[in-house]
Amino acid sequence: MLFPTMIFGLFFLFVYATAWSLERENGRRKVFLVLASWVFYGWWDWRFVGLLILSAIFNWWVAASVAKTGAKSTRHWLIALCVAVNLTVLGFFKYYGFFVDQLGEALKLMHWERDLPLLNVILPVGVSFFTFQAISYVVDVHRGKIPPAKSLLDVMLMMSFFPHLVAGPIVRGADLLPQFNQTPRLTRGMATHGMLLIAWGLLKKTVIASELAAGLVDPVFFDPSQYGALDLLAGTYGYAVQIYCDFSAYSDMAIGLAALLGYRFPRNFDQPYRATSLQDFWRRWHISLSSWLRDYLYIPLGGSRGGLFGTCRNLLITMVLGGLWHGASWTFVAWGGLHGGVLCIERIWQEMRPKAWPKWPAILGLLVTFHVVCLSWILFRSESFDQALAFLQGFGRIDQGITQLTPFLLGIIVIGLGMHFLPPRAIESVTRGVKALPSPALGVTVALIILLVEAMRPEGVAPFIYYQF
Amino acid sequence: MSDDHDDLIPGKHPLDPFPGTHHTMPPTIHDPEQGGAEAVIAQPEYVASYDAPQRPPPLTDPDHFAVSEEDYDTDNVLDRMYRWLAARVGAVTVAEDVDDQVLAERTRRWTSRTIAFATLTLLFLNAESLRSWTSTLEPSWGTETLRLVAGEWADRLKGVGLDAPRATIRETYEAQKAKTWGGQPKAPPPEPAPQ
Repeated sequence: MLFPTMIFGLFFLFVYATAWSLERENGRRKVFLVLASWVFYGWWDWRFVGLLILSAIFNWWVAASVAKTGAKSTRHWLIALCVAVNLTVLGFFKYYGFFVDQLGEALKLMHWERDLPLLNVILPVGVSFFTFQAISYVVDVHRGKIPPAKSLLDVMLMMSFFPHLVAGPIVRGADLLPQFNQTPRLTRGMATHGMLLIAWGLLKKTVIASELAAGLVDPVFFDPSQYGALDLLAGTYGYAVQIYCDFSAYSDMAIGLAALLGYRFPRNFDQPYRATSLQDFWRRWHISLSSWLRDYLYIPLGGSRGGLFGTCRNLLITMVLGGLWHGASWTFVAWGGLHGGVLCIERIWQEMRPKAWPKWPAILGLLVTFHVVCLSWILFRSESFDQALAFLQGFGRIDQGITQLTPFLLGIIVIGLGMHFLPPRAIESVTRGVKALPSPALGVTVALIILLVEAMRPEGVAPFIYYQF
Repeated sequence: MSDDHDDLIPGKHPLDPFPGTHHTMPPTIHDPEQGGAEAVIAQPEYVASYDAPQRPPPLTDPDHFAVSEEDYDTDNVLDRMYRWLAARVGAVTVAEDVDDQVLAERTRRWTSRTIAFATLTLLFLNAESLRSWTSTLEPSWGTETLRLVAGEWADRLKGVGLDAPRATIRETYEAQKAKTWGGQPKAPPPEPAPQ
C-alpha cells in the first residue's frame, strides 16, 4: 500500500475518522492504530507482520529487564543480546545472500569451490528502519535517557506506527512514547501543515521524481555507453533531484499523516543541496539516520575525542557502515567510503589550514559539495562498479548530441534544485498564512493542489527508492 | 559499545559531521551531570516518570512553525535577503497564536470539514482517477459494481464539463512534455554499438 495511491487514501480516511472517534479512549485508540498499522504492513506480505510483533515483544522485554536490573554486567549482557538479535534479524533478511555470494567468490579464488546454502530471502519492507528504531529505544533506556515504555502496546505502536514504518523517519522512543501517554490534540497549525506536506510530497514524488525516473534517469543508467556527456550530466543531476524528491516526499507525507492523527515527527530533510560542505550536507540529509549514526555508532566509537587520526577513523567506519545499511552491495559501501573520505579531507583541512588564509566563498563550497554528492550518487544508483565506470567514461563523449534530455526534463531539474533556495521553512510559513482560512476554502485549495498533481502524474506509481533499504 | 562515551555534553564533545543539535529528550530524573549512567541504577523509581501526573500539553503549534533567526544563514546573500523580507512582514517570530484547550474540539471539527471538502471537491473534479483506479482492481462482483458506478459517475461529470479543468491541465502538461530542442522531433536513442 503506497502513500500516493487511491487505496491508501481510502485507508487513511477510515483510520482518521475512527482514530478521532476513539478520542476519549486513548488505550483503544492505540490498539486501533496498531491494528491499522499491521493491516498497512500486511498489505505487502502478511507473514512479516509476525516479525514486527516478535521484534516489538523482544525489545519491550529487554528494555523492561534493563530498567529493572541493577547489576551493570547484566545490563550490558542484555544490551549486547538486544543489539545482536536485532542485527541478526537485519543481517539475515538483508545481507544473507550478499555474504554467501561473497564467500562463494572468495572460496572460488582459493580454488576451493563449494555449494553454499543459497536461500531466496525476501526482504521485509522497512526492516532497516524498525530495527534501528528498536536498538535506539533499548539503548536509550539503558543510558537512562528515557524510561521504559509503560506497556507493550506503546512499544508495539512505536515500532509499527504506519506513517514511519516502511521508510522512516527513524522516530525515536524519546519522540514518540511521551506522545502516547494521552490522546493527542490537534492544532490548526498541525492540521494545515499536515495537509500541505501531504500535497507537497505528492507533487515531489508523483510528478518530479516519477518524470525524471522514467524520462531520463532510468534510461541513462540502464546503458550509459549509449549517451553523450550532456545526457549523462543531466542524468546525474536528474538522479540527485529524483532521490531527494522521492525520499523527502515520503518523509513529508509521513510527517503530514502523523500530524493529522495528532502526532509529531521530527524533520528529516532541510534543503540538503544548499549545503556548503559535506559536513553541512549530513546535517540536512536524512537527519534521523545521520543523528542515529552519530548517537549510536560515531560517539560510542569515540567521536572526535581521539585526535585527528581517531576522528577520521571513526568517520570512515561510521560512513562505510552507513553505506552498507543502505543495501547489500559493494557500491553502497564505496558510496559510504567516498562520503567518509571527503569528510576526513574536510576535517584535515579544517585542522591544517593556515589561519591567515581566507575562507572559501560559500557559493564555491556549495558547488563543490553538490558535485561531490552527485559523484557519489552515480555509485549509489549504479548496480555495479562496471556500470559506474561506464557512466563516468561517458563524460568524455562531449561531441555526442543530446538524445534523452528535453526542455521539459531540464525544467523539472531546475525546479527540483530551485526548491532548495526557497526561504527556510517555506511550507511552515505558508501554513502560518493559510491556517486561518475557513474549512471550505482550505479544503478546496488542498483539493486543487491534488487535482493539479493528479492531472500531471504519469500512470501508476513506482515504489519509493528507500523501500528497498 | 561503551557507556563511557554516552553522555552528550554540549560544547564538550564535538559531534561533527553529524547534526550539531542534541536530540531533545523528554524530562527524566537521570541528570547526566550528576553521576553519569550509574545514577540510573541507583534510582529505580525513574520507571514511574511516565506515570507521574502530567498536565495536558498546551495546544501550541510545534516549534518548527517558528521561523527563527537561526534558520537563516548569514553568509548567504539569498538568505540575508529573505531575512530582510521576513522581518518586514513580521514572519520572523515565534508562533504565539496558541489555541485554547477548549478549542480542541472545534479544531478537530474544522480539520474534518476541511478533509471532507477536499474529498468532495476531488470526487467531482477528479472522477477520472477514481475510474482509473477501479479499472485496476481484481475482477469480482464487488469490484465490478464499483467499476460500473465509478465509470457512470465519471461519464455524467464529463457530460456537464466538470472534467475540463483536469483535461486542460493534462493537455497543457503533455504539450510541454512533447517539446524538443529547436522544435525538432525527439531523436531516438542511439543504437547499441556492435560488440
